[in-house]
Amino acid sequence: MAIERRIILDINSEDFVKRLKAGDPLAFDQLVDGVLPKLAGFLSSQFYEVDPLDLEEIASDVLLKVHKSVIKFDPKGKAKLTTWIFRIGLNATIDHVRRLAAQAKKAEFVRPQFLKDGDPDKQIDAFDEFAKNQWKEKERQAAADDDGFVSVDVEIDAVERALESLSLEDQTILRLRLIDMDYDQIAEIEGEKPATLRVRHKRALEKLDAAYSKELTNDQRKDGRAVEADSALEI
Amino acid sequence: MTKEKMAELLKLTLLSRYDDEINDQLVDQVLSKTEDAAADVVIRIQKRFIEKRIGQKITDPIKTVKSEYTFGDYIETIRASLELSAQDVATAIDEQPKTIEDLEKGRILPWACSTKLIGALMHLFKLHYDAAEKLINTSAVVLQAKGPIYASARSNRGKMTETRGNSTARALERFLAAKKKSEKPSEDVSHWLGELKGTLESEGWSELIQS
Repeated sequence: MAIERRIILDINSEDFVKRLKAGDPLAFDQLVDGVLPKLAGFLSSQFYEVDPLDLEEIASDVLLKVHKSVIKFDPKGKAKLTTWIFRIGLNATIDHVRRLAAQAKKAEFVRPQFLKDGDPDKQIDAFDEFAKNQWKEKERQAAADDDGFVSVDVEIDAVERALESLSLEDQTILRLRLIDMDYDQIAEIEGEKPATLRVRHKRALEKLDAAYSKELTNDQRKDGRAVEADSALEI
Repeated sequence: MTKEKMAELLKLTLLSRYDDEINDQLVDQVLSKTEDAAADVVIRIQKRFIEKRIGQKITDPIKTVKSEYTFGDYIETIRASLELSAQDVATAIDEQPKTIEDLEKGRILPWACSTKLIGALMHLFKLHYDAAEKLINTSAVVLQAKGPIYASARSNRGKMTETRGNSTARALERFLAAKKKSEKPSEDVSHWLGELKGTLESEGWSELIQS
Protein backbone atom coordinates (compact mmCIF):
# COMPACT_ATOMS: atom_id res chain seq x y z
CA MET A 1 0.00 0.00 0.00
CA ALA A 2 2.80 2.40 0.88
CA ILE A 3 4.41 1.81 -2.49
CA GLU A 4 1.09 2.40 -4.26
CA ARG A 5 0.60 5.68 -2.43
CA ARG A 6 4.09 6.80 -3.40
CA ILE A 7 3.45 5.96 -7.05
CA ILE A 8 0.21 7.97 -7.07
CA LEU A 9 1.93 10.93 -5.44
CA ASP A 10 4.90 10.87 -7.81
CA ILE A 11 2.81 10.57 -10.95
CA ASN A 12 0.67 13.52 -9.94
CA SER A 13 3.55 15.74 -8.89
CA GLU A 14 4.34 18.86 -10.89
CA ASP A 15 7.90 17.73 -11.49
CA PHE A 16 6.75 14.45 -12.96
CA VAL A 17 4.20 16.16 -15.23
CA LYS A 18 6.96 18.53 -16.36
CA ARG A 19 9.09 15.55 -17.39
CA LEU A 20 6.16 14.06 -19.27
CA LYS A 21 5.45 17.31 -21.07
CA ALA A 22 9.11 17.55 -22.04
CA GLY A 23 8.77 14.18 -23.81
CA ASP A 24 10.95 12.19 -21.40
CA PRO A 25 10.44 8.56 -22.56
CA LEU A 26 11.43 7.18 -19.15
CA ALA A 27 8.78 9.31 -17.45
CA PHE A 28 6.16 7.96 -19.81
CA ASP A 29 7.33 4.40 -19.07
CA GLN A 30 6.89 5.15 -15.36
CA LEU A 31 3.43 6.53 -16.00
CA VAL A 32 2.43 3.44 -17.97
CA ASP A 33 3.87 1.12 -15.31
CA GLY A 34 2.06 3.00 -12.55
CA VAL A 35 -1.33 3.50 -14.16
CA LEU A 36 -1.93 0.91 -16.87
CA PRO A 37 -2.46 -2.19 -14.67
CA LYS A 38 -5.07 -0.29 -12.63
CA LEU A 39 -6.71 1.32 -15.66
CA ALA A 40 -6.99 -2.02 -17.49
CA GLY A 41 -8.28 -3.67 -14.30
CA PHE A 42 -10.79 -0.87 -13.80
CA LEU A 43 -12.12 -1.03 -17.38
CA SER A 44 -12.50 -4.82 -17.33
CA SER A 45 -14.32 -4.69 -13.97
CA GLN A 46 -16.69 -1.93 -15.12
CA PHE A 47 -17.29 -3.17 -18.69
CA TYR A 48 -17.31 -6.94 -18.30
CA GLU A 49 -19.78 -7.26 -21.21
CA VAL A 50 -17.18 -5.83 -23.63
CA ASP A 51 -14.84 -8.27 -25.38
CA PRO A 52 -11.57 -8.29 -23.38
CA LEU A 53 -9.57 -7.94 -26.60
CA ASP A 54 -11.57 -4.82 -27.49
CA LEU A 55 -10.79 -3.43 -24.03
CA GLU A 56 -7.08 -4.04 -24.63
CA GLU A 57 -7.35 -2.18 -27.93
CA ILE A 58 -9.18 0.69 -26.21
CA ALA A 59 -6.57 0.84 -23.44
CA SER A 60 -3.76 1.07 -26.01
CA ASP A 61 -5.67 3.89 -27.74
CA VAL A 62 -6.04 5.63 -24.38
CA LEU A 63 -2.26 5.49 -23.88
CA LEU A 64 -1.84 6.92 -27.36
CA LYS A 65 -4.23 9.79 -26.57
CA VAL A 66 -2.49 10.45 -23.26
CA HIS A 67 0.91 10.45 -24.95
CA LYS A 68 -0.31 12.87 -27.60
CA SER A 69 -2.26 15.19 -25.31
CA VAL A 70 -0.25 15.21 -22.09
CA ILE A 71 1.45 18.37 -23.30
CA LYS A 72 -1.93 20.12 -22.90
CA PHE A 73 -2.53 18.81 -19.39
CA ASP A 74 -2.56 21.53 -16.76
CA PRO A 75 -1.08 20.25 -13.47
CA LYS A 76 -2.61 23.24 -11.70
CA GLY A 77 -6.06 22.51 -13.11
CA LYS A 78 -9.06 20.90 -11.45
CA ALA A 79 -8.04 17.25 -11.75
CA LYS A 80 -4.96 15.18 -11.06
CA LEU A 81 -3.14 13.54 -13.96
CA THR A 82 -4.41 10.10 -12.92
CA THR A 83 -8.02 11.38 -12.86
CA TRP A 84 -7.57 12.91 -16.31
CA ILE A 85 -6.30 9.57 -17.67
CA PHE A 86 -9.18 7.62 -16.14
CA ARG A 87 -11.67 10.01 -17.69
CA ILE A 88 -10.12 9.49 -21.12
CA GLY A 89 -10.34 5.72 -20.57
CA LEU A 90 -13.94 5.86 -19.46
CA ASN A 91 -15.04 8.11 -22.31
CA ALA A 92 -13.28 5.96 -24.90
CA THR A 93 -14.92 2.79 -23.59
CA ILE A 94 -18.39 4.33 -23.43
CA ASP A 95 -17.99 5.54 -27.03
CA HIS A 96 -17.00 2.01 -28.01
CA VAL A 97 -20.08 0.52 -26.33
CA ARG A 98 -22.33 3.05 -28.04
CA ARG A 99 -20.75 2.28 -31.41
CA LEU A 100 -21.24 -1.46 -30.88
CA ALA A 101 -24.87 -0.97 -29.91
CA ALA A 102 -25.50 1.08 -33.05
CA GLN A 103 -23.77 -1.48 -35.29
CA ALA A 104 -25.75 -4.32 -33.75
CA LYS A 105 -28.95 -2.43 -34.52
CA LYS A 106 -27.97 -1.99 -38.17
CA ALA A 107 -26.75 -5.55 -38.61
CA GLU A 108 -30.07 -7.26 -38.01
CA PHE A 109 -30.12 -10.12 -40.45
CA VAL A 110 -33.17 -11.87 -41.92
CA ARG A 111 -32.73 -15.50 -42.97
CA PRO A 112 -33.57 -15.69 -46.69
CA GLN A 113 -36.05 -18.19 -48.08
CA PHE A 114 -33.59 -19.89 -50.51
CA LEU A 115 -31.54 -21.22 -47.59
CA LYS A 116 -34.52 -23.13 -46.33
CA ASP A 117 -34.77 -25.40 -49.39
CA GLY A 118 -33.16 -26.13 -52.78
CA ASP A 119 -29.98 -27.98 -53.79
CA PRO A 120 -26.70 -27.11 -52.01
CA ASP A 121 -24.75 -25.96 -55.15
CA LYS A 122 -27.42 -23.50 -56.11
CA GLN A 123 -27.64 -22.37 -52.51
CA ILE A 124 -23.97 -21.35 -52.53
CA ASP A 125 -24.30 -19.26 -55.73
CA ALA A 126 -27.54 -17.79 -54.55
CA PHE A 127 -26.06 -16.98 -51.17
CA ASP A 128 -23.13 -15.13 -52.77
CA GLU A 129 -25.57 -13.05 -54.78
CA PHE A 130 -27.77 -12.49 -51.74
CA ALA A 131 -24.84 -11.46 -49.54
CA LYS A 132 -23.67 -8.96 -52.16
CA ASN A 133 -27.13 -7.41 -52.43
CA GLN A 134 -27.64 -7.50 -48.69
CA TRP A 135 -24.41 -5.59 -48.16
CA LYS A 136 -25.32 -2.96 -50.72
CA GLU A 137 -28.75 -2.63 -49.15
CA LYS A 138 -27.24 -2.19 -45.71
CA GLU A 139 -24.95 0.57 -46.98
CA ARG A 140 -27.88 2.28 -48.69
CA GLN A 141 -29.98 2.08 -45.56
CA ALA A 142 -27.20 3.39 -43.41
CA ALA A 143 -26.72 6.36 -45.73
CA ALA A 144 -30.44 7.07 -45.90
CA ASP A 145 -31.07 6.65 -42.19
CA ASP A 146 -31.62 10.13 -40.79
CA ASP A 147 -31.47 8.81 -37.26
CA GLY A 148 -28.19 7.02 -38.03
CA PHE A 149 -25.59 6.87 -35.32
CA VAL A 150 -23.12 9.71 -35.24
CA SER A 151 -20.31 9.03 -32.82
CA VAL A 152 -19.86 11.41 -29.94
CA ASP A 153 -16.33 12.08 -31.15
CA VAL A 154 -17.65 13.26 -34.52
CA GLU A 155 -20.27 15.45 -32.82
CA ILE A 156 -17.70 16.96 -30.49
CA ASP A 157 -15.32 17.66 -33.38
CA ALA A 158 -18.12 19.45 -35.20
CA VAL A 159 -19.05 21.51 -32.11
CA GLU A 160 -15.40 22.45 -31.61
CA ARG A 161 -15.10 23.72 -35.18
CA ALA A 162 -18.48 25.47 -34.92
CA LEU A 163 -17.37 27.22 -31.72
CA GLU A 164 -14.19 28.43 -33.36
CA SER A 165 -16.22 30.03 -36.13
CA LEU A 166 -18.11 32.22 -33.61
CA SER A 167 -16.96 35.64 -32.40
CA LEU A 168 -14.96 35.81 -29.18
CA GLU A 169 -17.91 37.51 -27.41
CA ASP A 170 -20.26 34.69 -28.40
CA GLN A 171 -17.75 32.04 -27.31
CA THR A 172 -17.23 33.77 -23.97
CA ILE A 173 -20.89 33.97 -23.05
CA LEU A 174 -21.43 30.32 -23.99
CA ARG A 175 -18.52 29.26 -21.80
CA LEU A 176 -19.58 31.40 -18.85
CA ARG A 177 -23.15 30.12 -18.95
CA LEU A 178 -21.84 26.58 -19.18
CA ILE A 179 -20.10 26.86 -15.84
CA ASP A 180 -23.41 27.95 -14.35
CA MET A 181 -22.70 31.66 -14.00
CA ASP A 182 -25.96 33.56 -13.99
CA TYR A 183 -26.60 36.66 -16.10
CA ASP A 184 -26.08 39.00 -13.14
CA GLN A 185 -22.62 37.59 -12.48
CA ILE A 186 -21.69 37.75 -16.17
CA ALA A 187 -23.01 41.30 -16.31
CA GLU A 188 -20.45 42.31 -13.70
CA ILE A 189 -17.62 40.89 -15.79
CA GLU A 190 -18.82 42.03 -19.18
CA GLY A 191 -20.19 45.41 -18.15
CA GLU A 192 -23.50 44.75 -19.91
CA LYS A 193 -27.10 44.59 -18.71
CA PRO A 194 -28.31 41.09 -17.77
CA ALA A 195 -31.20 41.38 -20.25
CA THR A 196 -28.76 42.18 -23.07
CA LEU A 197 -26.64 39.20 -22.12
CA ARG A 198 -29.68 36.93 -22.10
CA VAL A 199 -30.44 37.94 -25.71
CA ARG A 200 -26.78 37.61 -26.68
CA HIS A 201 -26.63 34.12 -25.19
CA LYS A 202 -29.76 33.04 -27.08
CA ARG A 203 -28.34 34.35 -30.36
CA ALA A 204 -24.96 32.73 -29.71
CA LEU A 205 -26.69 29.38 -29.21
CA GLU A 206 -28.61 29.83 -32.48
CA LYS A 207 -25.42 30.70 -34.35
CA LEU A 208 -23.68 27.71 -32.81
CA ASP A 209 -26.52 25.41 -33.83
CA ALA A 210 -26.38 26.67 -37.41
CA ALA A 211 -22.58 26.39 -37.59
CA TYR A 212 -22.72 22.91 -36.06
CA SER A 213 -25.25 21.69 -38.65
CA LYS A 214 -23.04 23.08 -41.40
CA GLU A 215 -19.94 21.32 -40.01
CA LEU A 216 -21.79 18.03 -39.63
CA THR A 217 -23.12 18.26 -43.21
CA ASN A 218 -19.58 18.93 -44.47
CA ASP A 219 -18.34 15.86 -42.59
CA GLN A 220 -21.08 13.72 -44.10
CA ARG A 221 -20.30 15.05 -47.59
CA LYS A 222 -16.64 14.17 -47.09
CA ASP A 223 -17.65 10.67 -45.94
CA GLY A 224 -19.89 10.37 -48.98
CA ARG A 225 -17.02 11.30 -51.27
CA ALA A 226 -14.83 8.74 -49.53
CA VAL A 227 -17.44 6.01 -50.09
CA GLU A 228 -17.75 7.01 -53.76
CA ALA A 229 -13.96 6.91 -54.17
CA ASP A 230 -13.83 3.44 -52.56
CA SER A 231 -16.57 2.18 -54.88
CA ALA A 232 -14.69 3.53 -57.91
CA LEU A 233 -11.58 1.66 -56.82
CA GLU A 234 -13.51 -1.60 -56.51
CA ILE A 235 -14.76 -1.27 -60.11
CA MET B 1 -31.42 20.49 -32.65
CA THR B 2 -33.04 20.99 -29.25
CA LYS B 3 -31.54 23.40 -26.74
CA GLU B 4 -30.96 20.53 -24.31
CA LYS B 5 -29.06 18.47 -26.89
CA MET B 6 -26.88 21.44 -27.82
CA ALA B 7 -26.24 22.19 -24.15
CA GLU B 8 -25.20 18.60 -23.60
CA LEU B 9 -22.87 18.65 -26.61
CA LEU B 10 -21.35 21.93 -25.48
CA LYS B 11 -20.74 20.44 -22.07
CA LEU B 12 -19.09 17.40 -23.63
CA THR B 13 -16.94 19.62 -25.81
CA LEU B 14 -15.84 22.22 -23.32
CA LEU B 15 -15.85 20.19 -20.13
CA SER B 16 -14.54 16.67 -19.81
CA ARG B 17 -17.31 14.11 -19.90
CA TYR B 18 -18.19 12.57 -16.55
CA ASP B 19 -16.29 15.35 -14.81
CA ASP B 20 -18.61 15.15 -11.86
CA GLU B 21 -18.54 11.39 -11.56
CA ILE B 22 -14.84 10.78 -12.06
CA ASN B 23 -13.06 12.97 -9.56
CA ASP B 24 -9.70 12.76 -7.81
CA GLN B 25 -11.12 11.05 -4.76
CA LEU B 26 -12.78 8.29 -6.76
CA VAL B 27 -9.72 7.65 -8.92
CA ASP B 28 -7.47 7.49 -5.85
CA GLN B 29 -9.85 4.92 -4.39
CA VAL B 30 -9.84 2.96 -7.64
CA LEU B 31 -6.06 3.02 -7.77
CA SER B 32 -5.82 1.69 -4.25
CA LYS B 33 -8.65 -0.86 -4.44
CA THR B 34 -8.99 -2.13 -8.01
CA GLU B 35 -7.11 -5.29 -8.75
CA ASP B 36 -4.38 -4.92 -11.32
CA ALA B 37 -5.06 -6.44 -14.71
CA ALA B 38 -3.12 -9.64 -15.37
CA ALA B 39 0.52 -9.09 -16.35
CA ASP B 40 0.08 -10.67 -19.80
CA VAL B 41 -2.85 -8.31 -20.52
CA VAL B 42 -0.78 -5.29 -19.49
CA ILE B 43 2.11 -6.38 -21.71
CA ARG B 44 -0.18 -6.94 -24.70
CA ILE B 45 -1.62 -3.43 -24.26
CA GLN B 46 1.86 -1.93 -24.02
CA LYS B 47 2.90 -3.76 -27.17
CA ARG B 48 -0.11 -2.49 -29.12
CA PHE B 49 0.55 1.03 -27.85
CA ILE B 50 4.18 0.93 -28.98
CA GLU B 51 3.23 -0.56 -32.36
CA LYS B 52 0.64 2.18 -32.84
CA ARG B 53 3.12 4.91 -31.93
CA ILE B 54 5.59 3.62 -34.46
CA GLY B 55 2.83 3.04 -37.02
CA GLN B 56 1.83 6.69 -36.79
CA LYS B 57 5.32 7.80 -37.80
CA ILE B 58 6.48 5.01 -40.12
CA THR B 59 3.87 3.85 -42.57
CA ASP B 60 5.93 2.13 -45.29
CA PRO B 61 8.99 -0.11 -45.06
CA ILE B 62 12.24 1.87 -44.88
CA LYS B 63 14.46 0.83 -47.77
CA THR B 64 17.27 3.37 -47.72
CA VAL B 65 19.60 4.22 -44.85
CA LYS B 66 22.73 6.32 -44.48
CA SER B 67 25.88 4.37 -45.29
CA GLU B 68 27.71 5.40 -42.10
CA TYR B 69 25.17 3.76 -39.82
CA THR B 70 25.83 0.39 -38.25
CA PHE B 71 22.80 -1.72 -37.38
CA GLY B 72 23.02 -0.83 -33.68
CA ASP B 73 23.55 2.83 -34.43
CA TYR B 74 20.48 2.88 -36.65
CA ILE B 75 18.24 1.16 -34.10
CA GLU B 76 19.32 3.58 -31.38
CA THR B 77 18.82 6.61 -33.62
CA ILE B 78 15.37 5.63 -34.85
CA ARG B 79 14.29 4.58 -31.36
CA ALA B 80 15.36 7.92 -29.91
CA SER B 81 13.71 9.85 -32.73
CA LEU B 82 10.44 8.08 -31.91
CA GLU B 83 10.91 8.98 -28.22
CA LEU B 84 10.89 5.32 -27.23
CA SER B 85 13.03 3.85 -24.46
CA ALA B 86 15.05 0.64 -24.80
CA GLN B 87 12.53 -0.80 -22.35
CA ASP B 88 9.67 0.03 -24.78
CA VAL B 89 11.44 -1.73 -27.63
CA ALA B 90 12.25 -4.70 -25.41
CA THR B 91 8.61 -4.98 -24.31
CA ALA B 92 7.39 -4.81 -27.90
CA ILE B 93 9.53 -7.74 -29.03
CA ASP B 94 9.63 -9.83 -25.82
CA GLU B 95 13.31 -9.16 -25.14
CA GLN B 96 15.44 -7.91 -22.28
CA PRO B 97 16.22 -4.15 -22.32
CA LYS B 98 19.89 -4.95 -21.82
CA THR B 99 19.98 -6.95 -25.06
CA ILE B 100 18.59 -3.94 -26.94
CA GLU B 101 21.12 -1.61 -25.30
CA ASP B 102 24.01 -4.00 -26.00
CA LEU B 103 22.94 -4.31 -29.62
CA GLU B 104 22.70 -0.54 -29.97
CA LYS B 105 26.13 0.04 -28.44
CA GLY B 106 27.76 -2.65 -30.53
CA ARG B 107 28.49 -4.83 -27.51
CA ILE B 108 26.50 -7.55 -29.25
CA LEU B 109 26.76 -7.87 -33.01
CA PRO B 110 23.59 -8.45 -35.04
CA TRP B 111 24.75 -11.76 -36.53
CA ALA B 112 25.52 -13.04 -33.03
CA CYS B 113 21.80 -12.68 -32.26
CA SER B 114 19.03 -14.96 -33.41
CA THR B 115 17.53 -14.05 -36.76
CA LYS B 116 14.17 -14.07 -34.97
CA LEU B 117 15.28 -11.21 -32.68
CA ILE B 118 16.70 -9.09 -35.51
CA GLY B 119 13.65 -9.91 -37.65
CA ALA B 120 11.34 -8.78 -34.83
CA LEU B 121 13.26 -5.49 -34.56
CA MET B 122 13.03 -5.01 -38.33
CA HIS B 123 9.31 -5.72 -38.22
CA LEU B 124 8.79 -3.31 -35.32
CA PHE B 125 10.60 -0.45 -37.07
CA LYS B 126 9.45 -1.48 -40.58
CA LEU B 127 13.04 -1.84 -41.71
CA HIS B 128 13.26 -3.43 -45.16
CA TYR B 129 15.70 -6.29 -45.72
CA ASP B 130 17.73 -4.25 -48.25
CA ALA B 131 18.32 -1.54 -45.65
CA ALA B 132 19.06 -4.05 -42.87
CA GLU B 133 21.56 -5.85 -45.10
CA LYS B 134 23.36 -2.57 -45.73
CA LEU B 135 23.44 -1.73 -42.01
CA ILE B 136 24.68 -5.18 -41.05
CA ASN B 137 27.39 -5.08 -43.73
CA THR B 138 28.51 -1.73 -42.32
CA SER B 139 28.60 -3.28 -38.83
CA ALA B 140 30.80 -6.08 -40.21
CA VAL B 141 33.18 -3.70 -41.99
CA VAL B 142 33.50 -1.46 -38.92
CA LEU B 143 34.26 -4.50 -36.77
CA GLN B 144 36.99 -5.62 -39.19
CA ALA B 145 38.53 -2.15 -39.17
CA LYS B 146 38.54 -1.45 -35.46
CA GLY B 147 38.68 -4.92 -34.00
CA PRO B 148 36.76 -5.87 -30.89
CA ILE B 149 38.00 -2.85 -28.86
CA TYR B 150 35.68 -0.45 -27.11
CA ALA B 151 36.58 3.21 -27.09
CA SER B 152 36.62 5.12 -23.85
CA ALA B 153 36.95 8.81 -23.18
CA ARG B 154 38.28 11.10 -20.56
CA SER B 155 36.21 13.86 -19.10
CA ASN B 156 37.62 17.26 -18.20
CA ARG B 157 39.11 16.08 -14.95
CA GLY B 158 40.33 12.73 -16.08
CA LYS B 159 37.23 10.79 -15.06
CA MET B 160 35.94 8.34 -17.62
CA THR B 161 32.20 8.22 -18.15
CA GLU B 162 30.13 5.63 -19.96
CA THR B 163 28.27 8.30 -21.89
CA ARG B 164 31.46 9.88 -23.19
CA GLY B 165 32.87 6.45 -23.93
CA ASN B 166 29.80 5.51 -25.95
CA SER B 167 29.84 8.80 -27.75
CA THR B 168 33.50 8.38 -28.68
CA ALA B 169 32.90 4.81 -29.82
CA ARG B 170 30.03 6.02 -31.99
CA ALA B 171 32.21 8.74 -33.53
CA LEU B 172 34.94 6.21 -34.24
CA GLU B 173 32.46 3.83 -35.85
CA ARG B 174 31.07 6.55 -38.09
CA PHE B 175 34.58 7.58 -39.08
CA LEU B 176 35.46 3.99 -39.97
CA ALA B 177 32.16 3.47 -41.77
CA ALA B 178 32.72 6.62 -43.83
CA LYS B 179 36.24 5.49 -44.73
CA LYS B 180 35.25 1.91 -45.48
CA LYS B 181 36.02 0.40 -48.84
CA SER B 182 33.42 -1.73 -50.52
CA GLU B 183 34.39 -4.96 -48.89
CA LYS B 184 32.35 -8.09 -48.91
CA PRO B 185 31.21 -9.32 -45.52
CA SER B 186 32.56 -12.62 -44.26
CA GLU B 187 30.96 -15.88 -45.30
CA ASP B 188 29.46 -16.27 -41.83
CA VAL B 189 27.68 -12.92 -42.04
CA SER B 190 26.46 -13.64 -45.59
CA HIS B 191 25.13 -17.00 -44.47
CA TRP B 192 23.41 -15.40 -41.48
CA LEU B 193 21.80 -12.79 -43.76
CA GLY B 194 20.37 -15.62 -45.84
CA GLU B 195 18.87 -17.11 -42.69
CA LEU B 196 17.46 -13.71 -41.74
CA LYS B 197 15.65 -13.53 -45.06
CA GLY B 198 14.25 -17.00 -44.41
CA THR B 199 12.99 -15.90 -40.99
CA LEU B 200 11.23 -12.86 -42.48
CA GLU B 201 9.55 -15.14 -45.01
CA SER B 202 8.50 -17.74 -42.44
CA GLU B 203 7.09 -15.02 -40.15
CA GLY B 204 4.99 -13.73 -43.05
CA TRP B 205 6.64 -10.28 -43.14
CA SER B 206 6.80 -10.27 -46.93
CA GLU B 207 6.55 -6.45 -47.09
CA LEU B 208 10.07 -6.35 -45.66
CA ILE B 209 11.48 -8.48 -48.48
CA GLN B 210 9.54 -7.42 -51.55
CA SER B 211 11.42 -5.01 -53.78
